[in-house]
Amino acid sequence: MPRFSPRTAAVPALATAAALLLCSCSAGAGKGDGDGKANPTEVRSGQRLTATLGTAKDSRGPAPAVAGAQSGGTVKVANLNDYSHLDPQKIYAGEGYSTSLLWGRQLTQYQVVDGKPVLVGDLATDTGRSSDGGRTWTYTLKDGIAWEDGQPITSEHVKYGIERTFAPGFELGPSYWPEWLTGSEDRSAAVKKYAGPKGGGLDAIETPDAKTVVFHFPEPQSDVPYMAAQSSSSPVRPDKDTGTAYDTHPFATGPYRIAEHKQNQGLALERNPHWKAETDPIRHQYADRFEFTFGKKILNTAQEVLNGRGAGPDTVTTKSEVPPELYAQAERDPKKKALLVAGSRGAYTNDLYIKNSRVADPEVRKAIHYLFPREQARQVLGGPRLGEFATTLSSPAVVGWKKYDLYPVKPSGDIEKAKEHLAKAKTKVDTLTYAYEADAPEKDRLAQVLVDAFGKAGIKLVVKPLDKAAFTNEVFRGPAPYDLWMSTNSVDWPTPATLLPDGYDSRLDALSNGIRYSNPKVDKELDRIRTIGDAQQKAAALIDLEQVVMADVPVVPFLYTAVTQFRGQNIGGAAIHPIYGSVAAADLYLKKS
Amino acid sequence: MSTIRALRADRTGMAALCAVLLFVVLALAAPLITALYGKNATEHYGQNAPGLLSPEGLPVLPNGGISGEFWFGLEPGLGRDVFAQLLYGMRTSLVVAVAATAVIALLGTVLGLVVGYLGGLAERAFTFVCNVLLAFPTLLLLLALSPVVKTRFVDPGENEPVWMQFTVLILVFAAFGWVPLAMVLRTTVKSLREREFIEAARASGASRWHILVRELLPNIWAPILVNVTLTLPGIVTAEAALSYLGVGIDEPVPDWGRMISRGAEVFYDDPTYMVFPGVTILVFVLAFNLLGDAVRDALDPRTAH
Repeated sequence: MPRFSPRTAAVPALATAAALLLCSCSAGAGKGDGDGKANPTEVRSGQRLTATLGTAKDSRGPAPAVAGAQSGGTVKVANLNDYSHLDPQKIYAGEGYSTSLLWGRQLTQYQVVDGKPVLVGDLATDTGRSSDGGRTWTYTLKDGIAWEDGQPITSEHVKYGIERTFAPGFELGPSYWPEWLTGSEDRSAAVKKYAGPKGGGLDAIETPDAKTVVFHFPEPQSDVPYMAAQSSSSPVRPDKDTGTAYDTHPFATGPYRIAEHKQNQGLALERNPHWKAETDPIRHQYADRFEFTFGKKILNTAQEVLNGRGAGPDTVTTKSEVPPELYAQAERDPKKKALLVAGSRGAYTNDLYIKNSRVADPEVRKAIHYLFPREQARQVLGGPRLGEFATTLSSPAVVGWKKYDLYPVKPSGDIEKAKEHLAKAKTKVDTLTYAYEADAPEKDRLAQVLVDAFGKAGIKLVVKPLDKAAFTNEVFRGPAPYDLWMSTNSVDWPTPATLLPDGYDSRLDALSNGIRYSNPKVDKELDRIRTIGDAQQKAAALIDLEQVVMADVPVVPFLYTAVTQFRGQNIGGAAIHPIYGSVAAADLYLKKS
Repeated sequence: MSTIRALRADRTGMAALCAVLLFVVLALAAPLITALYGKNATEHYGQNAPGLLSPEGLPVLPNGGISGEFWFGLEPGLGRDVFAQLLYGMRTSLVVAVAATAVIALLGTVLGLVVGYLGGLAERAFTFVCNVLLAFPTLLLLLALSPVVKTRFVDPGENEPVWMQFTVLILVFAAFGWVPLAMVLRTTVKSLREREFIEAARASGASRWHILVRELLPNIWAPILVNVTLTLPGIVTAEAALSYLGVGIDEPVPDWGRMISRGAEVFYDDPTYMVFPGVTILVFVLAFNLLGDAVRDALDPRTAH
């Protein structure tokens, strides 16, 4: 009786091995751009992208046309996951902000022309007028703005929308409106004073007529125009507020309205007939429909799009990045390279965080700054597409950003300099711990790169891979027993107002000031800056203070992070939104073949 | 002696034996070979010297960076030497597999022998334990156990010791791996203990120890040997699979499973890198399996074909 034995399997197995060997010849990565010519899709995340304040004239519609844009057709958007929130007062993430512009409008918003953002009035005629030293802010609504059923948007709706941020269930969104309007330290203190629209109107927001909204703040506030651009500053109509159901199907004010939303499967948008282009300086209404699908693996979507198979040519992604497996291939093939959409990931920077309470000696922190192998670390994570090397704490996308480099060092690190600083340290350091979230193998490899560099400087680096929950709990919340970790920081809007005051004040808890940075001089200066009512002055003061903070090396700047997404060959107008850091959906159109 | 003669007559078996011996010698002599070769398994050559890896971390030279200096090329990303990694990865595989197989052979033999001879209550308890262990989801246990071991038993200021990673793997493989051997031996011993020579030994007043060790054990060498030669390659693949999933041996200890996992990540850009660990593990496991097969045929000519 014939039976299967390893011996009979040997021949096909060896044949497979031989075939593998034969097929495995591969081209090398080559020397790259030896001629030094600029790479068209090269990421320029280190460039200044500051959002300036636009005038009332800039705030008039329609939006500047996208060159070559055509009308009609259906744009397909393939993202891995559905949106966790569509309720405007619950959206709190860059890509959600960007995509929700398709159906939602705010008091102000960023108009993007040639990749440069300008903050302009959206529903309001301008970015806001302040009086009383920044304690009172007045907005006037435009004429002709309407809901998807044709009813006009009034000041009452804006007020109601902002009142919702106080209500239970809205803890997920930003807490700035509740804090500012009640003059409270945090949201939980604010909701004790006012608990949402169920308990009646909030006195701090006045609506003298249907067109005027007046905010009264107990403390001077300088950044109201930027906060007014956040999704939580969207109007909500009380009779259309369906409570939790509003989170899957909000009522539209923008160029599109939600035709159908099947959770975790698809989201279809159709044109909103009551949206008037002449009232809107930001959005376009080129495509007839937008069809979002969720659940398909990014690798499959990217292959379809880059190879132009199936629905690929009409497909774009607003959330997903080019998978690392395909990146080098796409970079080498000019046809595929043209389909990559790269840009700065909003105002993010990626830094090596140092627990200052554990590594208390600034000389040791300086040594870490010098030995940190930026180039090797970026190489092992995927290369230049991740962004340009950072020398500053804040991102170039922040108002008032200045380039500075307090301790210049070559990208591959300077071990000798690090040793000099270690020698100056009061107590000898021979072991440091590095914690990281062990969710991807490249993070293990990054840890090895760091072990190597620290080892060369004579420090034994203990690496601690932690699972996601443990990492969030142990490193960010509470007295973490680790010295170093990598983290990205961002600001809630592109001014420095939420960076130093919300993370580098020694009186903050470990949740906010996770590195336990403490400098009494900085605290004092922050107290002074808090009373400044003018946004530009405040930004300038904070940017100057940033250099004082960075002289202490509380963190080691690593990257101004960048993002590389992809679009089908028929998708036009695809560009990374300079503030929100993902493909700006409101500029997309379909090229007719 | 007839067994050895039968084995020597088996050409496939001899070839497999030679391959296995070669692997063992390479693994044992790895430090010597890498010293002569002039590279080690942990240094990041591609990162420390310019011109070897592109800014994205891919080898600049074609075919995974194979050159006179780096015989099997460079690892994408960290830029370690693939040849040295393979040699040391073999040590990792062999240490885990040999240690686990030794524990399995010991546990399985003792339990199978004793339970098969005693029978009764011991046998019923044994069957129950075996059934439980066979039903146990080993992979899930390891996936769940790995982070717990790392966070609970290791001080936050210390690396997870390498011996701990090895011990956990060996113990888990051994804890679940002895069942098939013990069950086979139990049945064999059960039939042997009714045979005349055991009856005779018992009648002549031999102790239980004497019967187990002197009378029964010499008669079950064949199934033990066959089982061991087939278990070992199984553990090599299992260890590689666990490391592939990220719950085996961690960086920076070289490991074939992790090499294959890295090869899968860069397969579109650098397929060469996948080939070395892939082919090595294939040949290694195949050689062991063929050897096991040959040993079985030599010991039991009836199953030969």
